[in-house]
Formats: sequence, structure tokens, C-alpha cells
Amino acid sequence: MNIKRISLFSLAVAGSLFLASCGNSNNTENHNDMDHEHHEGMEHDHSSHQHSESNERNVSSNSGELKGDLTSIMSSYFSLNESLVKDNASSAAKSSENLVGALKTFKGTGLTVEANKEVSEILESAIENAEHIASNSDDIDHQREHLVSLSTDIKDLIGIIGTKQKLYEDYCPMANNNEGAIWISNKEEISNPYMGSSMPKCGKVNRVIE
Amino acid sequence: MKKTLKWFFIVGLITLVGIQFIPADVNKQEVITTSDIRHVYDVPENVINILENSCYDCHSNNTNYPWYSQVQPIRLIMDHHVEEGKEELNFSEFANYSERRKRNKMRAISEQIEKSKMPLPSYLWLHSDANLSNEEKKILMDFISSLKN
Repeated sequence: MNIKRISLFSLAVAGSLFLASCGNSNNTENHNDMDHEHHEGMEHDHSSHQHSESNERNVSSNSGELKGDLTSIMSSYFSLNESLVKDNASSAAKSSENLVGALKTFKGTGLTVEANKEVSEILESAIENAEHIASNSDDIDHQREHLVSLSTDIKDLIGIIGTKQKLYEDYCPMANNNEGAIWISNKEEISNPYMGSSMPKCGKVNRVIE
Repeated sequence: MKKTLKWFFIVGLITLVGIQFIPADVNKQEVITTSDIRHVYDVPENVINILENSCYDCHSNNTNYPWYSQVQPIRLIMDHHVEEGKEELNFSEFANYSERRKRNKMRAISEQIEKSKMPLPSYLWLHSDANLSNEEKKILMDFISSLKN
């Protein structure tokens, strides 16, 4: 009887921890913000960023003209994420192959020397990450590991180049071995590429990019 | 039947002798490069020792070749491993990576170690001394997380 009660209790504790870590509800928001702050601190590049990074959910805007056309990069990236949401590693690999092609042909325009250097570093890193995703069609965990840094690359690229499309920077505290990770989406609704079908709705919108 | 077996053996032997003449790559710079990771971060001595013992054979410009590396086709397989390993991550060229890539690499290293994907099982088969103990893993992981702050 006693053992039964203890296991019921631990089940309840585990359940509430589980819910708390998946940040959809309001009462977990503070916790998530702290998580996010920590995360940003780690992922933050020391070199220049074109957009301001605040933890408040402000709408950030890329004022001025676009510095290039990200359409094909973004569409491959979105289809990669969709495949990962569906736990489909081989289709993720195919989308990532397209993404490699799109990244390799991308050219920025009207960039300062400094921004140009950063863009080439972002592209180099993004290509490396996308190539890994493309060549690991049998290892979805490894694909998702590379999605963590790929998504940071994509976010930073958008920060410099700009976008006409309304985009969302989403955040899941459980991704990346519970260290948390972001991804970019073109829909307000959350569909989580890191957790896939086990927890497709885990996460929240960190920021609207437009 | 006996004859076929004999020919099979002879051809095999000739091939085995023949491939010994395939030239081998030599990945030996003999010096610690100025772009080595120890010049990028403040890397503690014990971390360097672990890296050199368990990682540098494939992830640096200096491979420590064992005697059987002189035998083909072992050397061919080894050369291929070293080439691939260096392309993924080269501790001797670490300073030449952009900040972004350095960060990616450190994160990837910690993941590979945590999940025991590295060092490769096929490498450990002949290099059991390169196997990372839990203590060594912790030393590496602690070092990597210290870089994030």
C-alpha cells in the first residue's frame, strides 16, 4: 500500500515537472524567460548583430531594404523543419540537400565589409550544419543536434539580410538535451522540429520577426 | 575444387603483397601549430593530455602511428579515417575557425562525448587506451561548459 502511494506521488511530481518544462502556459513563463536569457547568453555571437536582442517579446523590425533574397533558403529550411516535426529523417535529409544548394548560391547585396564577413561566416556554418543533416538520413537525433546551430545561423542571417515575410522565433526549453533551442517558423502556431511527434506543441513564440 | 582453392589462395597472396606498395599518407607535422586549440583557449594540462591521447590521432596534424599501420590495407583504412576526421574537426587548425564554427565544434564535441559516439568504436577496438573513462569525460565536459561563460 505504502509503495503504491509513493509511486503515485512520484508520478504526480514527474508529471508536473514535465508540464512545467514544456512552456505553453502562462504560469511557466517566468521560468522560461530565465531559461531563454541563459540560452541567449550562450548562443550569442560576440561579433556584431544587426538587430537588437531583447528578452521582451517586442516586435523587432528590419528597417530599410532587404540585403538579399532569402526565399529559397527559407523554403528549404521550413520543409526541413516540417519533415522533422513528422519524424521523417529521410525527407529531412532531402530538404537539407536543397538547403545546402540554396545557401551556396546566396549572395548578399549592399552589405558593409563587416556584415559581409559575418554573412560568409554564417553561410559557412549553415552549410556545414545542413550537410550533416543531409548525410544523416538514418540518425534523426544527429539531424536535430545540427538543427540547433543551423537555426541560430538562419536567425542571424535574417537579422542581417531582413525579411518581408512575417516570421516567428520559437523556443523550446526541452530541446538540445534540456539546454533549450530556438527555431524559425513562418506560422504562429507551434510545431516543434526538435521533439517531433512526441511533443509537437512544446514551445512558445519568443519573438516576431517582420 | 582443390585447384580452384589453390588459385584463390595464390591470387589472394599476390594481391596482399601487391597492395603493400600503395603509398601511405603521413599525417605528421611534428610540431604543435600556432593555431592549435591550446593557443585559442586556456586549456588545462589534463584536458590537453586527454585530447592528445584520445582524439589527436584523427583530429590533428599529428597521428601517432602504431606498427600495424605499416601494413596494407590497414593503412588505407586508417588514412581514410584521418582524412575524414580532420575535415570534421582539426584541433591543430582550431584558431582558423570562425567564432561561430568554434562554438559549433565545442558543442558538437560535448554531444559526441556525452553520447559515447566518439572516440569511434572501430578506433577503440585497437586503441583501448584511448577509451574515455567517466572521469575523463567529465573533465572534458566541464572544460567545454566553462567556455560558455
